[in-house]
Amino acid sequence: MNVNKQHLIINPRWRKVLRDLWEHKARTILVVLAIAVGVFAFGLLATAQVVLDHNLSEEYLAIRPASASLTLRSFDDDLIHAVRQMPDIEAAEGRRTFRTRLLLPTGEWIELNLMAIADYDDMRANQVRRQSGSWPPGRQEVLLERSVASYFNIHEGDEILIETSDAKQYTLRVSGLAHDLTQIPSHLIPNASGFVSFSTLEWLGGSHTYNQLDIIVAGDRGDKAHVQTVAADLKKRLEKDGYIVFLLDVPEPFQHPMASMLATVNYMLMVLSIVSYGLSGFLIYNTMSSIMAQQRKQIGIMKAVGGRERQIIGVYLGLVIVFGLLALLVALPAGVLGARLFCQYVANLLNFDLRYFHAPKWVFAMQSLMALIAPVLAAIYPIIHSARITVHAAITDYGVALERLRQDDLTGRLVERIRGLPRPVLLSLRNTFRRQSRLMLTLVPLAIAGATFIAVFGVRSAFQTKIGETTSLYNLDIQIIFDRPYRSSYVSREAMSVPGVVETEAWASSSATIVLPDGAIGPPVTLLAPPVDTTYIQASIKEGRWLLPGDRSALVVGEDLLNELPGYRVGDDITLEIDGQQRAWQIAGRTGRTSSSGTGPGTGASIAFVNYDYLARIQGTQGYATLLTVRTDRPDLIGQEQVARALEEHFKDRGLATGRVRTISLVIKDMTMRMYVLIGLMLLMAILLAIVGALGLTGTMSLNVLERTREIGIMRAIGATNRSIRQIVIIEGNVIVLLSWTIGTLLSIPFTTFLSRTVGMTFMKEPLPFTLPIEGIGIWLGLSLAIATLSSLLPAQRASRISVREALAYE
Amino acid sequence: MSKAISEQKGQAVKNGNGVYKYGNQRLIELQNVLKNYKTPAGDFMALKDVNLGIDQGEFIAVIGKSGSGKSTLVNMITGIDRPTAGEIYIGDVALHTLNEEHTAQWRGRNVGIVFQFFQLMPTLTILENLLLPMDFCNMYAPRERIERAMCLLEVVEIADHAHKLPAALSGGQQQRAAIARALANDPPILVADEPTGNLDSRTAEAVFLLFEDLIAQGKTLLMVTHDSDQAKRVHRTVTISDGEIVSED
Repeated sequence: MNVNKQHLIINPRWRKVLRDLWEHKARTILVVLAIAVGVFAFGLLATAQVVLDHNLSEEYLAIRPASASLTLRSFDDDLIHAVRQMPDIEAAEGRRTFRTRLLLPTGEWIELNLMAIADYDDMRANQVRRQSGSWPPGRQEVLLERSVASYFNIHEGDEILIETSDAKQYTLRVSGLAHDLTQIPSHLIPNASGFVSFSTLEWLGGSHTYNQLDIIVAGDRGDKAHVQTVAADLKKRLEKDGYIVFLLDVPEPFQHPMASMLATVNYMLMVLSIVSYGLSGFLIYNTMSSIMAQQRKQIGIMKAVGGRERQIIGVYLGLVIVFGLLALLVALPAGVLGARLFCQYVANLLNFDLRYFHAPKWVFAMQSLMALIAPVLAAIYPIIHSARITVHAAITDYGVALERLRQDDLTGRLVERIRGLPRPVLLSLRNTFRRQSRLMLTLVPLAIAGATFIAVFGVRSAFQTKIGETTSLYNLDIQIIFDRPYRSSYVSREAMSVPGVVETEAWASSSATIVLPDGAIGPPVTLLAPPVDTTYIQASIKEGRWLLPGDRSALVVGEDLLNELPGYRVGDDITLEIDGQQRAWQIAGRTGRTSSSGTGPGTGASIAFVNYDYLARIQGTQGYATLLTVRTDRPDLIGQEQVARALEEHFKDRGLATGRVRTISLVIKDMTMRMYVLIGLMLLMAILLAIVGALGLTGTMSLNVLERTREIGIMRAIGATNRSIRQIVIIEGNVIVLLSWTIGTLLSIPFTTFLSRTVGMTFMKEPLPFTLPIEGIGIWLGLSLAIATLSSLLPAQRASRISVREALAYE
Repeated sequence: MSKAISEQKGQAVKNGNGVYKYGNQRLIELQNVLKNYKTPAGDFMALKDVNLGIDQGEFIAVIGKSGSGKSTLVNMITGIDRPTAGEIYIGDVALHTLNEEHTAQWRGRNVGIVFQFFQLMPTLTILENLLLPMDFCNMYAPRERIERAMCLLEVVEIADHAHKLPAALSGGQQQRAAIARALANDPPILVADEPTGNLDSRTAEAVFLLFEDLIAQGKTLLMVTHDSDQAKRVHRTVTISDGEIVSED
């Protein structure tokens, strides 16, 4: 007797499970992919979070990050030695930062912050690491930060032209590349940084003294309050000894400046991945309901030959578990690969090395659970419900093809009332509402995908609104920041002689530090002091008032600054320290966002507006300007950039020390570029959701076609052409998608509000305004119709191939 | 038929008083069975106060017009459907008292069902269709199951088609496979609902001869049929009309 050994290994009920999977390959692939998408996204993001966290914090701790940095006018080695002897200080490092400009190969000038380091082999804090080339840099040589080299395409051995603030140009040889993890990489802010020796700095006209003191405190360095106390004490001592301390910065202990932002982005992406995972449950429910409906007769037969309810449940749960296992087979390797690529992308973006990549076991365990739990939970109801059917009900069932249409079907009656539509379209409309629970379960993932997609565009619009709000605050084209004060009338006259310049206004400006009521150091703030009757600032005052003539210590602050200072309100007094002197000011008004540089933590100080007369008086610079604002007759970025370069050249020719000349348009461009990185990542996740939705729609349309096989056969028997059958299916798909688009658009309002708030608080320290993303709604409509057509195409093709004989034989 | 097939297992037997556990004297006893269906058009009485007794080893034909209640009657005996009122005893089992779960278990071991439209599992081969009842009821050791299934297929003369899917077989061959499957767990009772209704006369005759052989082996067989010639060849014919047994010859 021929005994097939396979039958000894796998019993017939499991063979049935495997055959069902194999017989319905398209359905299997759909369900497996739907489960896999969420599990993959979770695996990717959870692994990435662990790996990035580990790599970033390990690498950051390895450079011995400074607990605090003090910017002083000048100091020498004696001070460093003295600070190192202090019991509260574990390490101290002195450096000199030196602002220059770098001529790029493209002919564009950008800022180049040079840092002179005394001993490259004995850095006590904020260590810069050697990347390549000679170390330390020799005289007339520079080590460029590696992100500068890659972003601006400058190579080791190249010679670069730089210009100091006194308009002298020097050629430096790029002796190598260095890695400074504390710098915001050039991909994010297109500035440059480099490292030189003190002999080079002297050659460039700089002084052989330090201006930046980085310290590592002794004791609990992870306790920010402790660090702040030690740093504030040190600052007081230095000031008492006659040093001028411009700025004290205490970053979050042990935390890379971008770490919290990265964590928030990851958190948001994780939420979206979990949503996509949850939505895949809808597809599984739909598919399992349909499978179970089609299997009613088989369930009846199994029961007739002795199958018990729990055995039947076991058979179909087995099917679902196999779906989950197959999904896991796809999601596990894809998740690891995706995580590796994602980590590499983020590491490049934030300029750190990915030295360690190891997918944690708990992520695999979670993914395994997810791959099995969602399908089982989603399928358990249809399975139990169907397994409970009596043999009699199953055997005498007429099949799902003859589903009962309710006599009181409201949608059906409404559809019937529509006049002027061709019969196939009416049939599609009616078909759409035949399986209302399935319709709902198809609509929900699509609507949520749509709402998320639209919300991402909403965040983008809100960002743009906010950027627009910031830039519309400045009714000017170009800002010229001088390294020292110049007579206002002189710089204005010189600027006006440059073609393209229409108007100018001279301002005063100063860096300041907020001193909190308990004496602790608050965030830094840039004071801008325009004339009291300025038209160059168009502040929309949200609370309080704008500056008035005669205002002395009045301050108008932006929302971003107030968000950084919980407890401060309009009308409150606030202490500012300017050039080592503390003064009391009063917050007179609150305007929108003021920060003109950067969209993320550590990328720009907030701005406060004060009266020119008062600031100039306390600085002793009446009639002088440290900042010149310019209006041009050029409406576009290129034109304004040309005028800016011409102004630079002109001031240089006149021997004026211009620290920075920048157009507001370029600021917008930089901010927009950084915003796109975030939007791009969120959009990726929204697309994952859309994939789940599209798989769901494909599944639903396939099931609908399958269930209506007999009906399609009848239509063909009475003359329906292939085209009209295809049309019916595709129109039905499009009707579903249009419904989901409508719901998604409505849902996008709360989604956009939530996402704008979260993203705004993380990246701008204030909630982003709600903006109705018309563009996103339009794009999603186009995408939805494309999804509908693509998702319906295969089922429609299948429907059009059903022969009358095959259809009428279908049960 | 081979010894392996005819082997009996734990069959209900009468006690010393000549009755089964619940006092029923016959292997199959229906007492005042009533079946009412609720339909959109109102209540429909499919069986009206039916009383029927069948002894072990009997070959019974149930005849009647379409809609007379024949299938309902056999569904009562197989436990596929439940009576609205009345009692059904099969050997030592009060079938009307069992829940779905216990009925399925009991049916798998004690009743083999042959349907008019064969009702084979379409995604399982013929051999696997035969293994399925043994698997569900956990009957026989795995290797023994395959031997037994192949043996049964040889008996119904379709062993060569063991590894084919049902769709690859003719109607007659599928019905033979269905009969073999009904015998898989060696049940004492076989119920066939119009088993030859879909077969040509030659194949129908072959199937009927198979039934006669089973009766000779001691099986009890209840067959719903429209074929009056077949009805004449059984031990007893039960005629049913409008839900009532109108004659028993």
